[in-house]
Amino acid sequence: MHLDLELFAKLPKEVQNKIRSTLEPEELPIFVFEPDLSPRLSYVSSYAVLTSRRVLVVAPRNSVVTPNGHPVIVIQPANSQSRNSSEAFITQTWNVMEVVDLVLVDRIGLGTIELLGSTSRLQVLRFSAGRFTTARLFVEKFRALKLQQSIENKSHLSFGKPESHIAVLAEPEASICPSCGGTMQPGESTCRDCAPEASPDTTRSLWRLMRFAKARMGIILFGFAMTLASTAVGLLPPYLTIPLIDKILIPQKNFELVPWYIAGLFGAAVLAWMFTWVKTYVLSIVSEKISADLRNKTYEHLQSLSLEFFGGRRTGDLIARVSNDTERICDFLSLQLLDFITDLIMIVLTASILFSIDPMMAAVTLIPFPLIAWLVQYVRTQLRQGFARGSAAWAEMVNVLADTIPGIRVVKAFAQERREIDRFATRNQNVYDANTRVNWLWSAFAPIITFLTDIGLLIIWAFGAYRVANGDMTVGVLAAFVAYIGRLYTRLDSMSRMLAQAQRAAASTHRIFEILDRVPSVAEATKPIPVGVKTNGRVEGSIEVRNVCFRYGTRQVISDVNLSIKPGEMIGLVGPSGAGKSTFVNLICRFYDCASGSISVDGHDIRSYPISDYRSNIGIVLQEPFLFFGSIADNIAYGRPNASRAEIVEAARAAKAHEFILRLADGYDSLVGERGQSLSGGERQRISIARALLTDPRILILDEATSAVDTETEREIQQALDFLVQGRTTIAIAHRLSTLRKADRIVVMEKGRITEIGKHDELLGLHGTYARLHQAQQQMQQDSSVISEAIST
Amino acid sequence: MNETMKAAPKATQKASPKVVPPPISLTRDHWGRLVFVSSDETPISNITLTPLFPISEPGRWISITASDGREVACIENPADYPAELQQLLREELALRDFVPRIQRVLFVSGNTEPCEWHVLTNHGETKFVLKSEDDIRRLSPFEVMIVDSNGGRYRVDDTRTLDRKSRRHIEWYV
Repeated sequence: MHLDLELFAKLPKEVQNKIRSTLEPEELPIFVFEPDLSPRLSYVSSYAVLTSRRVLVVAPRNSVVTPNGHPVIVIQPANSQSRNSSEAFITQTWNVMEVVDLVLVDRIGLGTIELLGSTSRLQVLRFSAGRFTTARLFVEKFRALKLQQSIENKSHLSFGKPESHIAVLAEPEASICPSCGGTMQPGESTCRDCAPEASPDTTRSLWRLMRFAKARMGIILFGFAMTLASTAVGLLPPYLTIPLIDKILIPQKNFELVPWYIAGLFGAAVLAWMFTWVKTYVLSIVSEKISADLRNKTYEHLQSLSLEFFGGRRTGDLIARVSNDTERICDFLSLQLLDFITDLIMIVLTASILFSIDPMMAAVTLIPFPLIAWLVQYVRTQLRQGFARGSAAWAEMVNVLADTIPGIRVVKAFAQERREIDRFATRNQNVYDANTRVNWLWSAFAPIITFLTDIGLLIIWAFGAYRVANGDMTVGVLAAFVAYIGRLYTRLDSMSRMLAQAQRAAASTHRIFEILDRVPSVAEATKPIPVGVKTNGRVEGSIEVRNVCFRYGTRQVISDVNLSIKPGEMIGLVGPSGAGKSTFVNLICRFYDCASGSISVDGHDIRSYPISDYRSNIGIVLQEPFLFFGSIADNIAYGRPNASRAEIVEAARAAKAHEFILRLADGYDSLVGERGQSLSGGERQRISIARALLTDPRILILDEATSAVDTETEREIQQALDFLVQGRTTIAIAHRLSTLRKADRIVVMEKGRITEIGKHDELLGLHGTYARLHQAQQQMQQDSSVISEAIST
Repeated sequence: MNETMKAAPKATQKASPKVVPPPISLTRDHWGRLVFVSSDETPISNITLTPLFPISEPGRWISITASDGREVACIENPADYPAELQQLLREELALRDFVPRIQRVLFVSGNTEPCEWHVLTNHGETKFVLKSEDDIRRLSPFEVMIVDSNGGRYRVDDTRTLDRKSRRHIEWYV
């Protein structure tokens, strides 16, 4: 039970020494916590050490104050070897028994641990939000130590050491990240995926796409060869014009060779056309394949992630990642990157051709090129920022629309039309201003490129004319130079876009890998036990929940729950919201794994079954039934796609859905779900009950199945449910206690613990939470019946 | 109650035991309405026939419902019954399901909905307004169902048999 050496080694040397010198013989450090804020709330690290006997606080001298705000004068212990008062750190110590309790307070962004003595507050430790989890561990460890010591003290008087309590000091369990449901290491307050350490690195994220490119290396190399060939062929014509001008046109002879040169130029054009065609086709196939692979892989991975990952606010974002981001990567690979590589090859080839023809001339003409390239890039960046401001202003304007049009009733009711019109006009003016500013530059951009190109050409003409006059160069070479450089400058614009596009594609890649890098929190067993060997994959349905704890971020949602459920028994689960009811059922469904303790079904831990085989034994009816787009028959058969029509109809009859389905125009073939026919809440619920019935689940979870509907519909659904629960182990969560009248036992949960278990009458007799809930609901019913009587008379 | 449910999955495991269809008696009364006589000999008049799977299996699974919407019997397979009854079922269902088969698309007002369609069907020429693209749906690879703005239905049994122009109009949507 002593400190992790690694943790200790991470502390500054000075602090390590300080702690070592403070420790008494046989005293062992157990845990170190680093509060990172001083009493005046500046970021200064101090160290709180829990040892087997004491609590030590090591803090920089100038940051230590008493709880009242006065600097602490520390009296060095008598056995202290060094009495050096210039030391940077000072230590305060308290015996564990001296500290009555540690109180942890979360003040949003700022946490404190107060060390309370029997008569006064001894010290306050302050720290920022990131350290909350470790702080809690520190407090827990302290309490466990105190508990252990008080037991030991007592047991000295009575008899031997009760071993079981030592386990309280066990290592902290891993927990579940509250925002994505991933597994979190002890000591973290959000998982690493949700709080990434730094922004993505452009080249590195793009480089990771190589993983997907590797599988298609052959075709990529072929495409690259085609790119090289097409670019090379494209550079041929100016080269051919040199002898055409110098040998034929200027001396005005050998005109019989002209057809050959024309044929050569034509051949180059044909080859360039064909190579470019093949190259573009091949590389667009490659990029489509890569992005299709990415989409498949991402979607497949998404399906393996935990429920929590798909919180409501993420849905749109996830859809965008699988669709838009992969599309953007595809565009980048097939168009922009390809163009860029072509341009790069062209520049290198052109430069080498120019140098081979006339090194002097090439040097002079290429010198301004980098400068011009930089200028183009600079203007582009300015433009990009301008456009970004424009689109931000646009979004602001759209926000007004999105805000006020759905809320139009409120606007009119409070007669605020004028204000909203003004608000819109202001935002609209912002759009105009932002766009005007960028348009000034944007309209100048194309002329600037032309202007720079012209300047570049001017240099060639001037220097070329000078060289031709001196007889150092022929006219043909000058013409070739003009043609080559002209081509280079026209490509500058498209090259300058590359940087921004690469950044955007890298961001997309990063967003996709963010999903791919997530580890599913529910792992498949290494040696799975088959489910229900003798009974055709069906479990019998006994559930044994033992000492289950579950933590959600820093919050303990379920603590030490024990419950055994017989096969076929119906359990009603009631309690205030936030009591951990839904989490409890999620644990039984194995949407999460519990941090400690175990859940067994038919005597085996559910973690030892193959996940999907186990879940096929479970049927769930949720508060808001979800119907997929498709026919009613498809929806009922969702859990068993090969079910026959007779079975579908039978399940619908049993779920009391048959008669309303009959009334729909297309019967069982009617389309429902998003974009489909609208059904009432009760009708949808009965379809979802039929869906659960058809899979014949052995364990049934009803998560507030009737709470979203009116009382009349509830009665209809209840009939269907009563049929559904027969012969199945059922756990029903309900707010309305009346829906649990058939339950064999009712379990009351509060703050993650089971507080009452028993039959309806027994629980009423306890006069506890259940009795209170029951009375409140009775009261409400009476009130409403009084009202309805009053209305009817 | 529970027994019936347990029987359902078993039925697929065994080699589908031949179930004897329940006796059903249907007649027409003097007003031409259908009368169902149940096993205890009480006649229920003015019943309606509803196919449960009108699209995926139109000829089978016909529910017999009383005027209050209550199902009194269900014919799983009409072939199990005498020819007169089958004839009666056919007559009655033909009246219920008026779904003209589109043979040719003559004119479509545009590619954006709502648009007007002039079509030639097996019942003659007609025109309708298509409200949104969701109203054209594919039932199987070559089968298409169109619902017009008034809820009227049209079908194409096999898009491959249409001429090029008609097919292009329909395949624009599906």
